[in-house]
Amino acid sequence: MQYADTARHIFEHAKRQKRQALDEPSAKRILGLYGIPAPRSAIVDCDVDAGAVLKELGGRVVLKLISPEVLHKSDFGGVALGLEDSDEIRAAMAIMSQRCREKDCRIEGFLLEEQIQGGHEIVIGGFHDPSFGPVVMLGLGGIFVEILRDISFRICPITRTDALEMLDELRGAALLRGARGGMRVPDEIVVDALLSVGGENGLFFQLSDAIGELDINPLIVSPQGAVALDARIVLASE
Amino acid sequence: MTITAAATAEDTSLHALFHPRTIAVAGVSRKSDGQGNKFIRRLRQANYQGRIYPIHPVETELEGLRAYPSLAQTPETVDYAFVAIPAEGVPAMLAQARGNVRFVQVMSSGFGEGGRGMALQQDLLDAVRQGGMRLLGPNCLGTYSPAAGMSFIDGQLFLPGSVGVLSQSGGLSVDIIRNGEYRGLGFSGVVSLGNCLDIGPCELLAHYLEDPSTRVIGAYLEDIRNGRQFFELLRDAKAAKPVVLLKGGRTAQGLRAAASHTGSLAGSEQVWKALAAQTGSILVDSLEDFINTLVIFESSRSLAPPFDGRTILFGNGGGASVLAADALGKLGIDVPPMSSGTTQALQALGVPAGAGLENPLDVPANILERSKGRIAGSILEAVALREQPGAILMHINMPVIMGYRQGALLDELMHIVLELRRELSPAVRLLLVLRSTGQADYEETRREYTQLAMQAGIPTFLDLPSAARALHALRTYSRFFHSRHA
Repeated sequence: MQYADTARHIFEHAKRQKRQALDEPSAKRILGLYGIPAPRSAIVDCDVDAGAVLKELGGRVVLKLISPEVLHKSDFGGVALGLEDSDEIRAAMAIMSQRCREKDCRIEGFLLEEQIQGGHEIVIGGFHDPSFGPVVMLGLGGIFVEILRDISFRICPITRTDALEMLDELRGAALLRGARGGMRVPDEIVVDALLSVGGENGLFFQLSDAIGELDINPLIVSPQGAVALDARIVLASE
Repeated sequence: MTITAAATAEDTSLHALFHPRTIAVAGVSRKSDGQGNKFIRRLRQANYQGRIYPIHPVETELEGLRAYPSLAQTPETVDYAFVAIPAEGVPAMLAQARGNVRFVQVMSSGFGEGGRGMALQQDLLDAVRQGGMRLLGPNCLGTYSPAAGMSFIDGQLFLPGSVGVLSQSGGLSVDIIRNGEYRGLGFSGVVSLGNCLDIGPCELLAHYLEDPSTRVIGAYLEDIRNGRQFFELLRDAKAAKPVVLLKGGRTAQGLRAAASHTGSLAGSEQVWKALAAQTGSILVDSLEDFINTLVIFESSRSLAPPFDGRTILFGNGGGASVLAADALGKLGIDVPPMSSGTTQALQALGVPAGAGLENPLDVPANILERSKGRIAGSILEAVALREQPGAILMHINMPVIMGYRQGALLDELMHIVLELRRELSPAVRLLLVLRSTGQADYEETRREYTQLAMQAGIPTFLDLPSAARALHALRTYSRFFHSRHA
């Protein structure tokens, strides 16, 4: 498969750079190859004409730090939401740059992304079980994963039936299906995203030798489809 | 450890492990107190039909049989060699077999358990390869095969049945046989696998899936090395035969040190649940539910009709019925109200006042006594005909019922239950719970009637919650089967 080759090039490149994990743009590029889009974005540095990029992406944007030393961007203060003009963007960049200097982290750039409105947050992940190999996980975002542990697992590769049953297993599935007047997301949107990761042709099953662990958190699902707001792909240890 | 002996035999069939025509026994002593002596006595007691060859370096006759100095010198090829000599002597004995042995069961321990005897473990593997045989164990009890008259348990051998079990614990395999047979299960085989240096869970699973005498499979697992293969075997079988899994150490493995969020959420417990969900296997939490689940699968004559879970409860003891309905409800199994037509039909039977003719149906012992139990049959026939339920769960409070005419009422009720099974369509599952207090006065009766009911295709349980969990397992299996074979 052609996109598998492209993905492997990305992994080779990251390995040569002795990275433990792909940077966010590379991780999202791989998701994109396998059919899970990311928000429209641009990679910029401090000297960028933020106004032009802002016009390109339209409306409000999210600024994210790209640094190989920073594993948990939010905890680090490496994510700024709802920026509306170039002054706000420059100010946010300045704060992140200052923090990086203090903590001795390299800055490889910044990711400016369109801010996605609406939709439900879900999480799709993958890891290797020592006995059974690649395993895919599905959970609802936020407190559902963190506190209620409302998650389901399947051994890869999963079938469409398996994926649907994973969704059925979540206590919070009703929320995705429009409970309490919320947005109703067709099951196929979630099922297709799960298959893109853990199916026979999914990226985690296809690239399971290269990927150690994987987190798409959050993945925003709406009737329009699924969009990966953040993605983390840890390289398999040699 | 992942050392595995090379698969030497071209013929990978395990048939001879269960049906050996010839058995060699090492570990037989003149004083008649060795494990080998016991093994031979059990073979004889169970009327084993093949030939037995004791192996001994110096003795020429043991247990009244001609003994041979080595595994290579028996008059014919040995299908199954039982070896229970001190560990240090095992490799040398096997290395000299010269291809004359198909399967060896090494009972002896001291081959790497707890990290000790690693060198001896390697010697054993080398010897098995050199001797040209397949290895069961070491550190295992071997094969229990009632059809062949092979046993590792003292006492009367039960009749063979259709449950095939593999166990990574010897002690638990004894528990499974004893508890299972007490409950009316019959086995096509039970294999204690020990350290699994050669033959492991996957090969046994593949065997039972193929074996025509095995209809239901049970596995007790602790440490599975070829997990991926085990999963793929189960997945590809698409639940053609029910598989019940009891996994020890699901939580001990704990959480892995994980670099990702997903990794930190995943434990062995979740992955085993995933495996069960994807393969239609039934994952249970206790030995008791392992047996209960095997009971419902083995005694059901046909697993083919879909089971939707709608259950009619019938028994003497209103409170027990209500609790059972709650237990079923918690497991998502419906105890639905009956149609008004059914209720009218029941009223037309002239059931005396005092009986509850809703679902759960509550018919006290004194009312059952008036018709010598026949009212139970009339009620259940009418209900089955009109409601077409997925299951009828009948429970009998033995100490109460046996209080009538020195137990005659119980005999009559059992007769009616057996008769009902013959008349019901296979799509209506009939389950029986013989409730008792555990007092010795009732136990023998309970055991006898359990055997009788099980042979008649009526899964029989000791208590209502167990029956509820078994019904849940049946529904899980049925749903999976029909979703994958649509």
